[in-house]
Amino acid sequence: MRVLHPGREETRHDTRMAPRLRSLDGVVLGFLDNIGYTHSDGRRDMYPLMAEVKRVLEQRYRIKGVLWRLKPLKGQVAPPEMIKEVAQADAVINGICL
Amino acid sequence: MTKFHSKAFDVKDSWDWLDMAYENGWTDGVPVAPPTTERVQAVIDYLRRDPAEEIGVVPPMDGLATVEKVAINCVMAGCKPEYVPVVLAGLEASLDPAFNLNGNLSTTNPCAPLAVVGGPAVKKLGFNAGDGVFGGGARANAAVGRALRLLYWNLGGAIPGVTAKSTLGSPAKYAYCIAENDIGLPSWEPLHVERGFESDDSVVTMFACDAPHSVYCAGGVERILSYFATRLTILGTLHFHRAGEILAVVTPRVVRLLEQEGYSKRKFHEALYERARWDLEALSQLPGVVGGDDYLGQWWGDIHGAPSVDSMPDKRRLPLVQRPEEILVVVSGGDGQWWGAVCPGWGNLSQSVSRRIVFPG
Repeated sequence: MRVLHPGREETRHDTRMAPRLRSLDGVVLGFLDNIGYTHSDGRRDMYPLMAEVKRVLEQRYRIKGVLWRLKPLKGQVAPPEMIKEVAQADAVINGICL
Repeated sequence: MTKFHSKAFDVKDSWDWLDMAYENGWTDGVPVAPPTTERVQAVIDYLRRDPAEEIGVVPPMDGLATVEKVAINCVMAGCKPEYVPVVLAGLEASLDPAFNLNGNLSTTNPCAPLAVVGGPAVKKLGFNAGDGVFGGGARANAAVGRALRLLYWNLGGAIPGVTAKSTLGSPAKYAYCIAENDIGLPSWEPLHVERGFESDDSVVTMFACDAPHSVYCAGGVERILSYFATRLTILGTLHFHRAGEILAVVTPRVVRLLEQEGYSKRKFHEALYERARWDLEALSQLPGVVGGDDYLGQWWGDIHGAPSVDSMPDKRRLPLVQRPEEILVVVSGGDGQWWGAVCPGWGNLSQSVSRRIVFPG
């Protein structure tokens, strides 16, 4: 009996690893935030856990700059233009979700 | 015989195949039929389509769905060739960006893509739209539901704990396909007709939702409306956090009573919309429920340019959705008692999408 492979043999998913950074010193760090945080006056800010990660990294390394983008909807893929913007950074941290 | 593009394997028998399927992770736990070249060829012959034709890219792992891959997974699910156009329509609907398949296969929520089949295909292909519609007893419902799930599994790579992060999962994630019970009442048009299709079109509507929550509503129209309204306004459902479509399923007996009492389907939509409301003043007695960062009040105001909660004139009667038709109504199930069901959706993170089923000419 001859059967056929039911799974992914062709994919449009580029799964190559991004080049690894030697250090975070001197890099622009991107943050793609799924949820954010709303202050009582309505201002939107970084999700607190993500903000803490940023604080710790800034303390430990000489981060050149930070690029923060907040997704419009947490359950959906970020719009292509937002991905393009955040990809300007040397490394990107993505999260947090529910 | 077609020259298939998929890799072929020789196996001794069905059990040998089944061991191979489990070892390679080609099934979600339920046994699957062997996709033999002969069976897959029969599907291709029926469809009269190029096996290499691309249907789309299935998230989250972006596997390429070709006619051939769809045929293979349909055979594994136990589909007759004539079911495959239904699966193709369901797959195409769920690949519409508005449906956000990537999100609803990956979310921590327990939602699953539900296929609602309507039109002449229901009777023609033997879909169950009566007793036990949500589970058990009909090859067409089970096989079409399984085929869609296997496509999400094998091409999408929606694997629990890896890419599919639903904390609880759901029995609906094995197979989730129902059919509309068209009882021929002119004032109760099937879902696809409400959405602008012709009555003689066969259509699949995909809707990301929880497994059904039953509603027992004997005792007259007032009870039907109030019990459904209560079921629609349960704290903890995602549409509380992010207002979006919800599905109400009503059985024929309930529909006939509603119709006798002057409720067309349109009027039923409107009655549910009017009665099923969030009472913000009452909810504000619960700490953190109203006005917090992750709760009602933030989300409702974010949606589709809707007015903010603060601008609503009556905070005791905040609508669940913006328009009555966003509470989808489907007639389905058996006639035995006064049952209905509500399937809460995945908030505003996904919208239902309908596609006409195209059978080979």
